[in-house]
Amino acid sequence: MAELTLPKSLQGVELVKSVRTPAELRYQYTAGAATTRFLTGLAQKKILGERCPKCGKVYIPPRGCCASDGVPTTDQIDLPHVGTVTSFCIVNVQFYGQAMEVPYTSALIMLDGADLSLMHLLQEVAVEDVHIGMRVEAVWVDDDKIGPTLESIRYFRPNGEPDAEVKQTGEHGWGELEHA
Amino acid sequence: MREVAIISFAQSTHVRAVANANEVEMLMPVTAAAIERAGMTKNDIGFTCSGSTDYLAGTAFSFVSTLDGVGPWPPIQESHVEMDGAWALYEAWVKLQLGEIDSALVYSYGKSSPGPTHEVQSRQLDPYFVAPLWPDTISLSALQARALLESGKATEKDFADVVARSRRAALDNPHAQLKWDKSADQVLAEPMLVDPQGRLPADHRRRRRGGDRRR
Repeated sequence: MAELTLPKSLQGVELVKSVRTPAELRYQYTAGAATTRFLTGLAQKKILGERCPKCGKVYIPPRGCCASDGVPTTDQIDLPHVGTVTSFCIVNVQFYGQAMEVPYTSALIMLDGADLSLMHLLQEVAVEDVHIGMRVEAVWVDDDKIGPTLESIRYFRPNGEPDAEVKQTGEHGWGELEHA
Repeated sequence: MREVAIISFAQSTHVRAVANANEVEMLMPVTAAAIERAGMTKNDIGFTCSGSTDYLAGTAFSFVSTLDGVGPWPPIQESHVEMDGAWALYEAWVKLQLGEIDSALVYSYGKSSPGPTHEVQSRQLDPYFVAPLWPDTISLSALQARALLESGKATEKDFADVVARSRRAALDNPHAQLKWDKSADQVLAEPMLVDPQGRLPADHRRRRRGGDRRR
């Protein structure tokens, strides 16, 4: 630490080494038109993607625009509740606020007919058996607990179908699907 | 020095609050209009630079989601500055001067309605000595006004003249939020929001209180 020469009046006074200045601001978050349609759909047990009118890609969850063309997505696509694991991560580390017991699997799931994968939990399968290409289906919470949140889907689980081929060389690096 | 000109411009309608659209949904029509008016497409743009402040949105890296609105795929040359459009314009201007690019799209946005704006703005102050006091913008301007009054360089009537003139001039500005035609004397007769600052008609005072921070 550098040598400090303090004025006489401050000599012998304990140095302030740090200050804590907590800040809290409250915001009213606006999901936006497209995400509102998506969340409202979830409350009706629907997974609504949105299609780009120019390139035809289907985004899920929709943010309201196509990142390739910079135009609003307009058409809602009622996607099947079935997809393919394109990537996954086994979580072994406990962290603050964690709701799950470790180890568990977070997976990127490309729903059939979508062009962007959705991140969700993968359950009812041993973590060592999870693999890219695994076919999975959504498991919803009980009907009386369904609401406008992605948590209306409890998790995805293997649906027993044979694996799909996943090429990681897709245009976006997100994985192009070829179903076996 | 290269000569640089603004060849196209678009802006959104200013409103007090937007509840049904997020930032990218608000921004997209504006950037699209500016590009179209220039007779260009997104592929003709050499550099894209945006300016915004995450504190307004209350979301870290909020500019990443608005970038989607200009279609940044395949990858484009782009940058973001944490402040405002003038700062973003400056970065683009420097790049133009360096000859790195021949055209640029500059956009800025600030959706202030999600948070208590007067207090959100206090986050840009010195973080050790001033920001912890949470001085809202109206109180800060009141302190400045008080200093001016006590120095004898201005009177409350001078302030009221400026308010009356500005609000009257705003009647011609379709984007102005606060506009009316009142004399300086009428302005002086309004109750004060923060002494000696912020004489506003009652309806605007109510709106401001509605956005106050709750702790």
